[in-house]
Amino acid sequence: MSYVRYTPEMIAWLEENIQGSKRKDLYGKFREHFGVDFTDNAIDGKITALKLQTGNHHVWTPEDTEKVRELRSSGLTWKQVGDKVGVTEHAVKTYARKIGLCTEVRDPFTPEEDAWLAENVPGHKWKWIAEEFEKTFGKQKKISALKSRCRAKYIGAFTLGGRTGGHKGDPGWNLKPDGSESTLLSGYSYVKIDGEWVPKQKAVYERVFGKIPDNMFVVFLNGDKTDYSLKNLYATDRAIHAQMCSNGWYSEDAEITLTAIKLCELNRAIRTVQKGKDG
Amino acid sequence: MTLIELQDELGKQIGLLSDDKTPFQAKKQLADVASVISSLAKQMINNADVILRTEKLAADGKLRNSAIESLISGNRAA
Repeated sequence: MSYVRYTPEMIAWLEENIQGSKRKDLYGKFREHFGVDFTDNAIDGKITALKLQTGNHHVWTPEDTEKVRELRSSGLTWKQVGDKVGVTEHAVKTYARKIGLCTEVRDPFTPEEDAWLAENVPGHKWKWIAEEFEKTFGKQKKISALKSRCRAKYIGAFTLGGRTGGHKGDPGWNLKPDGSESTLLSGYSYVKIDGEWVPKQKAVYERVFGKIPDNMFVVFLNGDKTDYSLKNLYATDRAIHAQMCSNGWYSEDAEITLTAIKLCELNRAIRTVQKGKDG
Repeated sequence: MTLIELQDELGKQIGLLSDDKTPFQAKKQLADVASVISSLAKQMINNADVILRTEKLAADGKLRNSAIESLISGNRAA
Protein backbone atom coordinates (compact mmCIF):
# COMPACT_ATOMS: atom_id res chain seq x y z
CA MET A 1 0.00 0.00 0.00
CA SER A 2 1.46 3.35 -1.00
CA TYR A 3 1.55 6.19 1.51
CA VAL A 4 0.18 9.54 0.32
CA ARG A 5 2.33 12.45 1.46
CA TYR A 6 0.94 15.98 1.43
CA THR A 7 3.20 18.93 0.86
CA PRO A 8 2.71 22.20 2.82
CA GLU A 9 1.42 23.74 -0.43
CA MET A 10 -1.25 21.11 -0.74
CA ILE A 11 -2.37 21.63 2.86
CA ALA A 12 -2.46 25.39 2.36
CA TRP A 13 -4.51 24.92 -0.83
CA LEU A 14 -7.01 22.71 1.01
CA GLU A 15 -7.35 25.23 3.84
CA GLU A 16 -7.88 27.99 1.32
CA ASN A 17 -10.38 26.24 -0.92
CA ILE A 18 -12.41 24.17 1.51
CA GLN A 19 -14.86 26.88 2.47
CA GLY A 20 -18.05 26.77 0.50
CA SER A 21 -16.96 23.88 -1.73
CA LYS A 22 -18.67 20.61 -2.17
CA ARG A 23 -16.31 17.84 -1.22
CA LYS A 24 -16.72 15.92 -4.50
CA ASP A 25 -15.84 19.04 -6.51
CA LEU A 26 -12.96 19.79 -4.21
CA TYR A 27 -11.35 16.37 -4.75
CA GLY A 28 -11.37 16.84 -8.55
CA LYS A 29 -10.00 20.38 -8.34
CA PHE A 30 -7.27 19.24 -5.97
CA ARG A 31 -6.11 16.45 -8.30
CA GLU A 32 -6.24 18.78 -11.30
CA HIS A 33 -4.34 21.55 -9.52
CA PHE A 34 -1.49 19.37 -8.28
CA GLY A 35 -1.52 16.74 -11.05
CA VAL A 36 -1.75 13.87 -8.55
CA ASP A 37 -3.92 10.75 -8.51
CA PHE A 38 -4.92 10.80 -4.84
CA THR A 39 -8.19 8.97 -4.21
CA ASP A 40 -11.29 10.66 -2.81
CA ASN A 41 -10.83 8.69 0.40
CA ALA A 42 -7.23 9.84 0.76
CA ILE A 43 -8.13 13.51 0.37
CA ASP A 44 -11.15 13.11 2.62
CA GLY A 45 -8.94 11.52 5.27
CA LYS A 46 -6.55 14.46 5.13
CA ILE A 47 -9.40 16.97 5.42
CA THR A 48 -10.68 15.13 8.47
CA ALA A 49 -7.18 14.95 9.96
CA LEU A 50 -6.74 18.70 9.46
CA LYS A 51 -10.20 19.26 11.02
CA LEU A 52 -11.24 21.43 8.09
CA GLN A 53 -14.91 22.26 7.53
CA THR A 54 -16.60 22.97 4.22
CA GLY A 55 -18.93 25.40 5.96
CA ASN A 56 -21.86 23.72 4.20
CA HIS A 57 -23.16 21.85 7.20
CA HIS A 58 -26.12 23.23 9.04
CA VAL A 59 -25.58 24.23 12.64
CA TRP A 60 -28.69 23.34 14.56
CA THR A 61 -29.92 25.93 17.05
CA PRO A 62 -32.60 25.60 19.77
CA GLU A 63 -34.82 27.76 17.52
CA ASP A 64 -34.43 25.19 14.73
CA THR A 65 -35.46 22.47 17.15
CA GLU A 66 -38.69 24.28 18.00
CA LYS A 67 -39.30 25.06 14.33
CA VAL A 68 -38.84 21.41 13.33
CA ARG A 69 -41.18 20.30 16.11
CA GLU A 70 -43.86 22.79 15.07
CA LEU A 71 -43.60 22.05 11.35
CA ARG A 72 -43.70 18.33 11.89
CA SER A 73 -46.67 18.51 14.28
CA SER A 74 -48.52 20.60 11.68
CA GLY A 75 -48.56 17.52 9.46
CA LEU A 76 -45.78 18.31 7.00
CA THR A 77 -43.62 15.55 5.56
CA TRP A 78 -39.93 15.37 6.45
CA LYS A 79 -39.05 16.65 2.98
CA GLN A 80 -41.29 19.69 3.43
CA VAL A 81 -39.85 20.31 6.91
CA GLY A 82 -36.35 20.11 5.46
CA ASP A 83 -37.22 22.58 2.70
CA LYS A 84 -38.61 25.06 5.23
CA VAL A 85 -35.53 24.80 7.44
CA GLY A 86 -33.15 24.86 4.50
CA VAL A 87 -31.62 21.40 4.81
CA THR A 88 -32.10 18.05 3.10
CA GLU A 89 -34.70 15.51 4.16
CA HIS A 90 -31.90 13.20 5.30
CA ALA A 91 -30.35 15.92 7.45
CA VAL A 92 -33.59 16.88 9.13
CA LYS A 93 -34.50 13.25 9.81
CA THR A 94 -31.07 12.55 11.26
CA TYR A 95 -31.43 15.57 13.55
CA ALA A 96 -35.01 14.62 14.45
CA ARG A 97 -33.81 11.16 15.43
CA LYS A 98 -31.15 12.72 17.60
CA ILE A 99 -33.66 14.82 19.52
CA GLY A 100 -36.13 11.95 19.75
CA LEU A 101 -38.69 13.46 17.39
CA CYS A 102 -38.40 10.87 14.66
CA THR A 103 -38.78 7.32 15.95
CA GLU A 104 -39.62 5.63 12.67
CA VAL A 105 -37.34 2.72 11.74
CA ARG A 106 -35.71 3.18 8.36
CA ASP A 107 -36.22 -0.34 7.09
CA PRO A 108 -38.09 -2.46 9.59
CA PHE A 109 -37.84 -6.25 9.67
CA THR A 110 -41.03 -8.05 8.67
CA PRO A 111 -42.36 -11.11 10.56
CA GLU A 112 -41.30 -13.26 7.59
CA GLU A 113 -37.76 -11.92 7.81
CA ASP A 114 -37.68 -12.58 11.57
CA ALA A 115 -38.86 -16.15 10.97
CA TRP A 116 -36.18 -16.60 8.29
CA LEU A 117 -33.50 -15.32 10.68
CA ALA A 118 -34.67 -17.66 13.46
CA GLU A 119 -34.40 -20.58 11.06
CA ASN A 120 -31.15 -19.70 9.33
CA VAL A 121 -28.97 -17.86 11.84
CA PRO A 122 -28.05 -20.80 14.12
CA GLY A 123 -24.97 -22.57 12.84
CA HIS A 124 -24.18 -20.15 10.01
CA LYS A 125 -21.59 -17.45 9.55
CA TRP A 126 -22.80 -13.84 9.47
CA LYS A 127 -21.37 -13.26 5.99
CA TRP A 128 -23.37 -16.19 4.64
CA ILE A 129 -26.49 -15.02 6.49
CA ALA A 130 -26.20 -11.50 5.04
CA GLU A 131 -25.76 -12.87 1.50
CA GLU A 132 -28.64 -15.33 1.78
CA PHE A 133 -30.86 -12.67 3.34
CA GLU A 134 -30.23 -10.43 0.34
CA LYS A 135 -30.91 -13.29 -2.07
CA THR A 136 -34.14 -14.25 -0.29
CA PHE A 137 -35.67 -10.84 0.36
CA GLY A 138 -33.80 -8.64 -2.13
CA LYS A 139 -32.78 -6.32 0.71
CA GLN A 140 -29.24 -5.47 1.59
CA LYS A 141 -28.70 -5.51 5.34
CA LYS A 142 -25.47 -4.87 7.17
CA ILE A 143 -24.17 -7.68 9.36
CA SER A 144 -24.39 -5.30 12.32
CA ALA A 145 -28.10 -4.72 11.56
CA LEU A 146 -28.76 -8.46 11.37
CA LYS A 147 -26.88 -9.04 14.61
CA SER A 148 -28.79 -6.26 16.27
CA ARG A 149 -32.11 -7.74 15.15
CA CYS A 150 -31.12 -11.21 16.36
CA ARG A 151 -30.09 -9.74 19.69
CA ALA A 152 -33.45 -8.03 20.00
CA LYS A 153 -35.34 -11.19 19.09
CA TYR A 154 -33.09 -13.60 21.04
CA ILE A 155 -32.17 -15.52 17.89
CA GLY A 156 -29.16 -17.83 17.42
CA ALA A 157 -26.31 -17.20 19.83
CA PHE A 158 -28.46 -14.51 21.44
CA THR A 159 -31.07 -16.96 22.74
CA LEU A 160 -32.03 -16.59 26.36
CA GLY A 161 -29.55 -18.56 28.41
CA GLY A 162 -27.15 -18.81 25.48
CA ARG A 163 -23.43 -18.53 26.03
CA THR A 164 -23.42 -14.85 25.18
CA GLY A 165 -25.56 -13.95 28.21
CA GLY A 166 -26.25 -10.37 29.11
CA HIS A 167 -30.02 -10.39 28.49
CA LYS A 168 -32.73 -9.70 30.97
CA GLY A 169 -33.53 -12.87 32.89
CA ASP A 170 -30.51 -14.68 31.52
CA PRO A 171 -28.53 -16.34 34.29
CA GLY A 172 -25.37 -16.41 32.11
CA TRP A 173 -23.54 -19.49 30.93
CA ASN A 174 -21.37 -19.77 34.04
CA LEU A 175 -24.39 -19.86 36.34
CA LYS A 176 -26.24 -22.58 34.44
CA PRO A 177 -27.00 -25.80 36.33
CA ASP A 178 -25.30 -29.12 35.50
CA GLY A 179 -26.89 -30.85 32.54
CA SER A 180 -27.49 -27.60 30.65
CA GLU A 181 -26.76 -27.64 26.96
CA SER A 182 -25.55 -24.89 24.69
CA THR A 183 -24.88 -24.84 20.96
CA LEU A 184 -22.31 -22.48 19.52
CA LEU A 185 -22.58 -20.82 16.13
CA SER A 186 -19.96 -23.28 14.91
CA GLY A 187 -22.58 -26.01 15.39
CA TYR A 188 -20.79 -27.80 18.25
CA SER A 189 -22.86 -28.45 21.36
CA TYR A 190 -21.55 -28.35 24.90
CA VAL A 191 -23.05 -29.81 28.07
CA LYS A 192 -22.29 -28.76 31.61
CA ILE A 193 -21.01 -31.61 33.74
CA ASP A 194 -19.75 -31.07 37.29
CA GLY A 195 -19.54 -27.32 36.65
CA GLU A 196 -17.50 -27.66 33.45
CA TRP A 197 -18.63 -27.28 29.86
CA VAL A 198 -17.55 -30.32 27.85
CA PRO A 199 -18.20 -31.12 24.17
CA LYS A 200 -21.40 -33.10 23.96
CA GLN A 201 -19.86 -35.75 21.69
CA LYS A 202 -17.17 -36.35 24.32
CA ALA A 203 -19.78 -36.68 27.05
CA VAL A 204 -21.79 -39.20 25.00
CA TYR A 205 -18.67 -41.20 24.11
CA GLU A 206 -17.32 -41.26 27.67
CA ARG A 207 -20.66 -42.35 29.08
CA VAL A 208 -20.39 -45.58 27.08
CA PHE A 209 -16.66 -46.23 26.69
CA GLY A 210 -15.30 -44.57 29.83
CA LYS A 211 -13.08 -41.56 30.23
CA ILE A 212 -10.72 -40.76 27.37
CA PRO A 213 -7.20 -39.37 27.97
CA ASP A 214 -6.75 -35.59 28.05
CA ASN A 215 -4.80 -35.54 24.76
CA MET A 216 -7.67 -37.21 22.89
CA PHE A 217 -10.93 -35.86 21.58
CA VAL A 218 -13.99 -37.21 19.83
CA VAL A 219 -14.69 -36.60 16.15
CA PHE A 220 -17.83 -37.02 14.07
CA LEU A 221 -17.04 -39.60 11.39
CA ASN A 222 -19.64 -38.33 8.91
CA GLY A 223 -19.05 -34.68 9.72
CA ASP A 224 -22.59 -34.18 11.02
CA LYS A 225 -22.22 -32.31 14.30
CA THR A 226 -25.71 -33.25 15.38
CA ASP A 227 -25.35 -37.01 14.88
CA TYR A 228 -24.39 -38.40 18.29
CA SER A 229 -24.93 -42.09 17.44
CA LEU A 230 -22.04 -44.18 18.72
CA LYS A 231 -21.18 -45.49 15.24
CA ASN A 232 -20.55 -41.88 14.22
CA LEU A 233 -18.21 -41.04 17.11
CA TYR A 234 -14.52 -41.92 17.29
CA ALA A 235 -11.86 -40.90 19.80
CA THR A 236 -8.60 -39.79 18.28
CA ASP A 237 -5.63 -37.59 19.13
CA ARG A 238 -4.16 -34.39 17.71
CA ALA A 239 -1.40 -36.10 15.69
CA ILE A 240 -3.91 -38.26 13.81
CA HIS A 241 -6.27 -35.31 13.46
CA ALA A 242 -3.45 -33.23 11.92
CA GLN A 243 -2.71 -35.97 9.36
CA MET A 244 -6.39 -36.31 8.53
CA CYS A 245 -6.72 -32.59 7.97
CA SER A 246 -3.56 -32.21 5.91
CA ASN A 247 -4.69 -35.05 3.61
CA GLY A 248 -8.26 -33.77 3.45
CA TRP A 249 -9.56 -37.15 4.58
CA TYR A 250 -12.44 -36.03 6.77
CA SER A 251 -15.33 -37.12 4.61
CA GLU A 252 -19.11 -37.02 4.70
CA ASP A 253 -18.93 -40.80 4.49
CA ALA A 254 -18.24 -42.33 7.91
CA GLU A 255 -16.56 -45.43 6.41
CA ILE A 256 -14.06 -43.37 4.43
CA THR A 257 -13.20 -41.26 7.48
CA LEU A 258 -12.82 -44.29 9.75
CA THR A 259 -10.62 -46.11 7.20
CA ALA A 260 -8.46 -43.01 6.86
CA ILE A 261 -8.09 -42.70 10.65
CA LYS A 262 -7.02 -46.35 10.85
CA LEU A 263 -4.54 -45.75 8.04
CA CYS A 264 -3.05 -42.84 9.99
CA GLU A 265 -2.81 -45.07 13.05
CA LEU A 266 -1.05 -47.75 11.00
CA ASN A 267 1.38 -45.18 9.58
CA ARG A 268 2.23 -44.12 13.11
CA ALA A 269 2.82 -47.74 14.14
CA ILE A 270 5.07 -48.24 11.08
CA ARG A 271 7.07 -45.10 11.87
CA THR A 272 7.51 -46.23 15.47
CA VAL A 273 9.00 -49.56 14.32
CA GLN A 274 11.16 -47.94 11.64
CA LYS A 275 12.57 -45.47 14.11
CA GLY A 276 13.74 -48.46 16.09
CA LYS A 277 11.52 -48.00 19.08
CA ASP A 278 10.55 -51.39 20.42
CA GLY A 279 6.91 -51.77 21.49
CA MET B 1 -12.15 -55.30 -1.18
CA THR B 2 -14.62 -53.08 0.63
CA LEU B 3 -13.69 -50.26 2.99
CA ILE B 4 -14.89 -52.30 5.96
CA GLU B 5 -12.61 -55.20 4.96
CA LEU B 6 -9.80 -52.70 4.56
CA GLN B 7 -10.48 -51.35 8.06
CA ASP B 8 -10.19 -54.89 9.44
CA GLU B 9 -6.91 -55.41 7.59
CA LEU B 10 -5.50 -52.12 8.85
CA GLY B 11 -6.59 -52.98 12.38
CA LYS B 12 -4.86 -56.37 12.05
CA GLN B 13 -1.63 -54.72 10.89
CA ILE B 14 -1.74 -52.21 13.75
CA GLY B 15 -2.24 -55.11 16.16
CA LEU B 16 0.76 -56.99 14.76
CA LEU B 17 3.04 -53.94 14.89
CA SER B 18 1.96 -53.02 18.40
CA ASP B 19 2.15 -56.52 19.86
CA ASP B 20 4.66 -56.58 22.73
CA LYS B 21 5.30 -60.29 22.28
CA THR B 22 6.54 -59.96 18.69
CA PRO B 23 10.36 -59.69 18.47
CA PHE B 24 11.65 -56.37 17.17
CA GLN B 25 13.34 -57.91 14.09
CA ALA B 26 10.08 -59.60 13.11
CA LYS B 27 8.30 -56.28 13.56
CA LYS B 28 10.71 -54.64 11.11
CA GLN B 29 9.75 -57.22 8.48
CA LEU B 30 6.08 -56.72 9.30
CA ALA B 31 6.53 -52.97 8.90
CA ASP B 32 7.68 -53.48 5.31
CA VAL B 33 4.52 -55.43 4.52
CA ALA B 34 2.43 -52.87 6.40
CA SER B 35 3.99 -50.05 4.34
CA VAL B 36 2.77 -51.69 1.13
CA ILE B 37 -0.69 -52.16 2.63
CA SER B 38 -0.60 -48.54 3.75
CA SER B 39 0.09 -47.22 0.24
CA LEU B 40 -2.68 -49.38 -1.19
CA ALA B 41 -5.04 -48.23 1.53
CA LYS B 42 -4.19 -44.59 0.83
CA GLN B 43 -5.04 -45.10 -2.81
CA MET B 44 -8.31 -46.85 -1.95
CA ILE B 45 -9.34 -44.02 0.37
CA ASN B 46 -8.58 -41.40 -2.23
CA ASN B 47 -10.50 -43.40 -4.84
CA ALA B 48 -13.47 -43.74 -2.52
CA ASP B 49 -13.37 -40.02 -1.86
CA VAL B 50 -13.34 -39.25 -5.60
CA ILE B 51 -16.30 -41.58 -6.16
CA LEU B 52 -18.23 -40.01 -3.31
CA ARG B 53 -17.62 -36.49 -4.56
CA THR B 54 -18.46 -37.49 -8.13
CA GLU B 55 -21.74 -39.05 -7.02
CA LYS B 56 -22.56 -35.93 -5.11
CA LEU B 57 -21.87 -33.70 -8.10
CA ALA B 58 -23.80 -36.05 -10.38
CA ALA B 59 -26.76 -35.96 -7.99
CA ASP B 60 -26.65 -32.17 -8.12
CA GLY B 61 -26.69 -32.35 -11.93
CA LYS B 62 -23.32 -30.66 -12.25
CA LEU B 63 -21.57 -33.46 -14.12
CA ARG B 64 -23.43 -33.73 -17.42
CA ASN B 65 -21.15 -35.08 -20.18
CA SER B 66 -18.18 -34.93 -17.85
CA ALA B 67 -15.02 -36.95 -18.46
CA ILE B 68 -14.72 -37.87 -14.77
CA GLU B 69 -18.08 -39.65 -14.83
CA SER B 70 -16.99 -41.90 -17.70
CA LEU B 71 -13.68 -42.50 -15.95
CA ILE B 72 -15.42 -43.68 -12.81
CA SER B 73 -18.44 -45.50 -14.14
CA GLY B 74 -16.64 -46.92 -17.20
CA ASN B 75 -19.27 -45.60 -19.63
CA ARG B 76 -18.34 -43.24 -22.36
CA ALA B 77 -19.90 -39.85 -21.97
CA ALA B 78 -22.39 -39.05 -24.67
